[in-house]
Amino acid sequence: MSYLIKNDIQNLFVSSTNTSSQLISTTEVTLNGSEVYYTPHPQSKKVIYEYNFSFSWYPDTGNLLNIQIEQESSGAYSSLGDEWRRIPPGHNTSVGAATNCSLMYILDPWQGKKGTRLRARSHSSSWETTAHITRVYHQSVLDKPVFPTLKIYSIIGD
Amino acid sequence: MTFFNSKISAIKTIRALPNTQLSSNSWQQLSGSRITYTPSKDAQNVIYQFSYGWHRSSNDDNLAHIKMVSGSNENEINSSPSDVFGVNFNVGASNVYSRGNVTFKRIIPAWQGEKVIQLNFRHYSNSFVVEMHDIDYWNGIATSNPINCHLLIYSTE
Repeated sequence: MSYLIKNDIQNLFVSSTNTSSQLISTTEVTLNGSEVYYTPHPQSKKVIYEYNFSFSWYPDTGNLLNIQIEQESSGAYSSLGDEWRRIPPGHNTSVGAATNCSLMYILDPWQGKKGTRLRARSHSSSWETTAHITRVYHQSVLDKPVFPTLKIYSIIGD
Repeated sequence: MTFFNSKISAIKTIRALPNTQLSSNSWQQLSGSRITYTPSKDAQNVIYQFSYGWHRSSNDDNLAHIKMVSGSNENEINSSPSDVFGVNFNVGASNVYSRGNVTFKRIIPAWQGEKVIQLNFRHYSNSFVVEMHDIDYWNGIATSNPINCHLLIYSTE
């Protein structure tokens, strides 16, 4: 029996992660909600990985993050390479400085289940930030949660 | 009650590693954003999604104007690009932290046959220069690190 795939998107996985805040300092950490163990569709030509998260100015008024995407092979993660590096929008004011950032990567497909995640650190110890919260809200200091979202799917077309 | 059951089709992707680009007072193609595309036969809309990185140049201040343009072929889009109505945006900042990543997504009405579409950019003035497709700070040190960009396009019926 043969099957005809009519939809060009397959194996869609989405998540919104209920997570606590995450201090991003000069020690690299995995961004909460970014890690997924995913099996591409056997006929996929590409895999699309999309991640959205927020971060706020606390503890430093100036913020700059470094983010790199890693993939797992035989249980060990490694970077996809320097050209895959990303810097979310930086900012430099207290109270008002908050950013929402969307990242999109077109990945080559792989066989079987493999982990993918984003690693982040601040550029320096004076440019640290806190992810997944608002920090201020309605004229007061209030850490409202901002859940990160993840979407990953296989492309059957070009 | 209304139900929407859109079908996604004619998906294309491009991942490119362009040379870095400096903005100027003239419009230029944002490398990696160009695609020759034919919407699916019954398409109502085309979804165009492009992700790229940028940073400040010699000054903290920077401001890039970006617009989508189209042409019936590469010669036409090179010589006389047509602005796509309603697809314009600015990206900029004014401090030492001025750098970032943009993931730009737009819904545009579908068309018949093949077209070339892309993003063009220029800066506000010569005091607001932007450098595209590059990272200048990483892990605590200044660097020059070209980065890739990602384009996804598809039709919805």
